[in-house]
Amino acid sequence: MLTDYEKALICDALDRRLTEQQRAELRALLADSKEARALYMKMRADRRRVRRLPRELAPANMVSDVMRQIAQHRIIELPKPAQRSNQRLGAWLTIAAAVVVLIGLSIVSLELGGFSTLSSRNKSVANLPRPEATPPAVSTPKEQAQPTPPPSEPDAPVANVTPSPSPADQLPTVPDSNQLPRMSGGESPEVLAAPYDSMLRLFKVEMPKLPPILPARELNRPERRSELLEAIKGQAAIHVDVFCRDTNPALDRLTRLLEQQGKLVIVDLVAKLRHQAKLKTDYMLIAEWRSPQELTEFFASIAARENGKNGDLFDSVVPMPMSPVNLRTLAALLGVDVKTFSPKTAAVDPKQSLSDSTIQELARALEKNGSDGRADSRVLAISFNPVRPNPAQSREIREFLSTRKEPTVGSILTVLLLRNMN
Amino acid sequence: MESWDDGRLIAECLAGDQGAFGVLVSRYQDRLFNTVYRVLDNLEDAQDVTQESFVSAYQSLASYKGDAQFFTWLYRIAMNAAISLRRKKKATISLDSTKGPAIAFHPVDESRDSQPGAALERSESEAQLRWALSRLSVEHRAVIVLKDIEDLRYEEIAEILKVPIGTVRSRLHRARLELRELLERFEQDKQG
Repeated sequence: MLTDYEKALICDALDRRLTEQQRAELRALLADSKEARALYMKMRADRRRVRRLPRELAPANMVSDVMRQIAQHRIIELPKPAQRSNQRLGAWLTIAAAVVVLIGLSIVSLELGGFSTLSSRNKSVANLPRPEATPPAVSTPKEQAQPTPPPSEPDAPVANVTPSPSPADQLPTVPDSNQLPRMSGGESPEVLAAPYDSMLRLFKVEMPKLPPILPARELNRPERRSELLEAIKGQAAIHVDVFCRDTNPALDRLTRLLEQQGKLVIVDLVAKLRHQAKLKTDYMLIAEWRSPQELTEFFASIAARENGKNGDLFDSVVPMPMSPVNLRTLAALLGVDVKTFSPKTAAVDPKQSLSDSTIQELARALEKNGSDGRADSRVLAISFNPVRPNPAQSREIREFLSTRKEPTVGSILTVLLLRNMN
Repeated sequence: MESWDDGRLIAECLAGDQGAFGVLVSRYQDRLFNTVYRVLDNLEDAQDVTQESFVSAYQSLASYKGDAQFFTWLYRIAMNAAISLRRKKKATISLDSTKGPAIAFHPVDESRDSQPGAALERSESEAQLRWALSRLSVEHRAVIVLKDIEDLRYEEIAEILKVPIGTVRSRLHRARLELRELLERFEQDKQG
């Protein structure tokens, strides 16, 4: 009768999981025991029989059935990949259209304003007492340039203007009204000749402050650093569009540069899979820097690398303050409440003097780091386009959020958006 | 797309491309179906479980951690479903399980292969083996199928069944010995 150990030895032998010593034991067992030999041979035969069982193929409609079921039940809501970029494009188009309309309006207003002033002056000339209609003996070129009324409008106020030395002579030459483009509404020229209202002021058109577009290669130059610093100064949270020729190697490089700054980059699984497969992806990196200077240092390091060997990965950088829309997008992407990323401001009463302990604490902190050293050193990288569905299920996002430090006063929450240019 | 690796297809699925999941289904359907069928020994049940496993995998694709191979993860879902179903059906099957092998040779389930006509088409050896396998507990049958039919490593089986490697080893020992005993009994009955 074989022991359990001997039976286990025979089983293990089938899977070739024996050590050298066990193999020797098995050889001895098989040599000594007929029962062991029989069991070993039978178990090997059983194994062969099991292996020879025919392989059943899946029904032909398996794929279509599964796909139909998936489509019918709409099991998971996957966002449309292009939706977000379309929204962003739409926002840019809206801004561009608004700028064009404002510029157009300002030009039209200037034209109308000038013309209405001119017309009002003409009207004042027209309102002068009319002398008897005597044809001018000699007309100067300037006088010839004065508008003459059309024959069908004998009562038009401008019609019977007799050229005379008047302030109107100082005005620029006005083309013949017949040569003016006709107004579609058929308004009479009186409308255009309305008296000038001094209360009416032209509205001032201010050009919207557009974010600077900074060439990535030049971010280590002093003037570009100043521009960047100017754009991010005083902001608690910023959004930076980083236009890349290929975001996948760009992510690698940013990761290395961030790690050189002592940051730990946590990459979400979806982003990781897309990156490994080299799929076209826009990545979002959420990071925090202690000060604007530190952030400009980081961009300077990008520029330095760009100017070195194997550069030419980044094209331009567009920094802009984080808008409420940006914040909402960020919160939605991470599946958290928007308040999570609301910038904190210092709640300090300027009238109240600092306590001694606060002063000492501040002094200690300044001695240690020169600034507040509590900025989060971890960076989260996620897929932005296509959007990562179900962010709450991402282990990396959960880890980042659960251990995230509260933003401190003076630190800058930065969202870097690596965008593919092609 | 057919030539893409699993990771790339999964990434495409997560980006909203259902077609990529279709490729994954197409890639693993036969292998998974055969495994589930050998565990359940019933074609209709195997079809349902395989289909549900794919749908379930798609449903939880966003939570796929990527630390295991996709097929291992898929097998885990399928084996869980198969074992659960088998346990539910155990009550009806176990009514005949105490009977001798000659009587129990015609399985109590209604699978295609259990029908007299179909059974005749199979070799006697295969029929014996199927009968013996059907008498094993579902846990024991699962390890035999994964090891001897799918030729998976102990580590992979442990990952699929969520048990330690030592448990895989001991289950495999017991399952093989039990299978041997059942076949022995069948042969004795046949001779007697």
